[in-house]
Amino acid sequence: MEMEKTGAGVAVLSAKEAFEKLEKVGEGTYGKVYRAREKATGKIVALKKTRLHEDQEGVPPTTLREVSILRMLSRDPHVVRLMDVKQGQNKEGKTVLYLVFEYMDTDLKKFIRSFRQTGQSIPPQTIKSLMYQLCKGIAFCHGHGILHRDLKPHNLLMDRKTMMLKIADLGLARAFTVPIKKYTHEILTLWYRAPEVLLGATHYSMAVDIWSVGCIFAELVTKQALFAGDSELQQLLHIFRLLGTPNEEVWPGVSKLKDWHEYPQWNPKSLSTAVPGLDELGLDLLSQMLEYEPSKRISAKKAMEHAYFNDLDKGHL
Amino acid sequence: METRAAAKRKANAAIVVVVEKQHPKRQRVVLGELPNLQNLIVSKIQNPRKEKLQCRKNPNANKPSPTNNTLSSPQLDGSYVSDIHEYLREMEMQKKRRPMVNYIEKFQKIVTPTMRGILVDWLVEVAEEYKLLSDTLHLSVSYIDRFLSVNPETDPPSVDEFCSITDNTYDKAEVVKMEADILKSLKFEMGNPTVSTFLRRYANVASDVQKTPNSQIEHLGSYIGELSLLDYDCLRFLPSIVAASVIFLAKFIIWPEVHPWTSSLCECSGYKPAELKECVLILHDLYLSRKAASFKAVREKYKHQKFKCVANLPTPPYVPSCYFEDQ
Repeated sequence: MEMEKTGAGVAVLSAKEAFEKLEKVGEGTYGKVYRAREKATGKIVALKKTRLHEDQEGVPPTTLREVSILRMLSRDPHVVRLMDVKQGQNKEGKTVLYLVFEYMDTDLKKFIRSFRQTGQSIPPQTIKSLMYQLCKGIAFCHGHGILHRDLKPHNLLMDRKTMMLKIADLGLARAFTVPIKKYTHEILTLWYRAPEVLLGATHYSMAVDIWSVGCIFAELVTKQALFAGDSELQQLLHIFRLLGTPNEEVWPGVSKLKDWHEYPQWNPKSLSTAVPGLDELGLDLLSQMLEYEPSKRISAKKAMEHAYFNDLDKGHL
Repeated sequence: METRAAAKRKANAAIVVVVEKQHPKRQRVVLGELPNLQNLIVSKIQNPRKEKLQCRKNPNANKPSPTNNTLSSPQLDGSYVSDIHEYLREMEMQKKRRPMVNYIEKFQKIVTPTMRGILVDWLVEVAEEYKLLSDTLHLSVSYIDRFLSVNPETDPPSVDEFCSITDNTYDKAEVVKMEADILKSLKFEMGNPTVSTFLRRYANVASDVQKTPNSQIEHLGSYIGELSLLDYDCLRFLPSIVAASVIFLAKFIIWPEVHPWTSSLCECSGYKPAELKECVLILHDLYLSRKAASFKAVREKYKHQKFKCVANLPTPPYVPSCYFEDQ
């Protein structure tokens, strides 16, 4: 039987011996994700398999960041729990790394799609609960100096029974320090990307995550992406059409950003035209999440205190 | 069977690779040649401390603490600054993220504090050549200390063998294997705060209160912070204490006649002057080359105009003891 030694000298089962793969549930940049059963306990887990020797470059940077960041964050109920990291070998004898996560049966993308397909609206209290959990999880990340940088419905895992939401996929996450370093701006799925990132800002902070949260909020209400661009330019134009073309008055410094050009001039529309069905308090919170000027954008911590959440039973969240 | 030198080369290469991966879009470091450093001895501390400077109150000592929005980024929400700092302080104390302070005496049969200093001094050159962030250097040294704390059986090379460390003396597969060993050994706990993590915050507060050009405090702080890496004795202090002591000393060097510690610095760091005394005096000895005099890379680096030649700034030979009394 294939065994590996731990640092303490105790023999433990290798990934192959410890888990029974049940089905493939997804595929990422560096490998596959399986639903699996831990043989010793019968517990269902998610196994994220990472190929190590693909190009002789060692552990992929996304895996390295994800694991070290989850090591810091995994104790929060709204961040997916990394239970273990195991090394194993594939059929060709190449080293593979298995990240063992708690198993969640769906994600927000699938959840929204299921409502879209049946033509039903997501109940307002469900939206409120999910949004509160998301803000709470992001506030925890930000309070621990971590930017997620790739928030989207697909990266928010859910348990259908309990309606618990957890932030996942921290492969692009970044631990930030004060002051903020220059970061790469080729991050974040286009639809949820903040305007400062689209315009080439390299100094950015937690406000980029809040913009994504705002886009997700609107999507929960309408079951459609708020800004669904197919290129960086189109993405900006979608934003400008709804929120108005920014200028120095509403966003000081915008015209000095690297990728700023002269854009068509649109006046801002009311958010209620794009997100009908969201009540007044919800629209107020959404507008604060979609502020152009990053420093004016509401923080996750402050969002949790917004009156929109006043009638929510927060005890179990 | 591979030589000790080869094993050590791989470990060091792998550690740099691990850190660099956390700073994407940055060129990987290849290990360059070390000069022949076999005869190095850490110089003994000379010059007993004399006290001549009169202590003057800092005119800014009781100024209110600067608001969080002075922390250099318009996009950093002020409400998180103290949360993050509190968390980092809590995190730096976790056993799993700290090297064992006396690991050389306890475990290492071959590594000595001098050899460690030689390695760190050389890593400073590597970091300079590849324009790596200060954080990368501090993390690399932290990983090395942590790795050597839990791997007493790792045989490092002798000082002679350091001379033969050149590019391409190991293949990628070996480095990748070593990287995996290091990650496993450190249990993927790679997110530890270092001196440079805290330095940024303290330097901002110091320059804001004193209305100094930020760059002077920052460069001098970086210089003293990197000197601290050379000294095995500094391992016993938490990174936040070293960072606070660095700022204390930097301010003393710039204004020797003014009390270096303000209420703002006390408030943001959580340390009183008396708590910094031991560390400040060690750093002062390092600054005056009364310790680690033979390690040249850091000192040469900070003599450059790029760093405002801070390594050339003079300092009195002692720090008045009244500066360590609470104001």
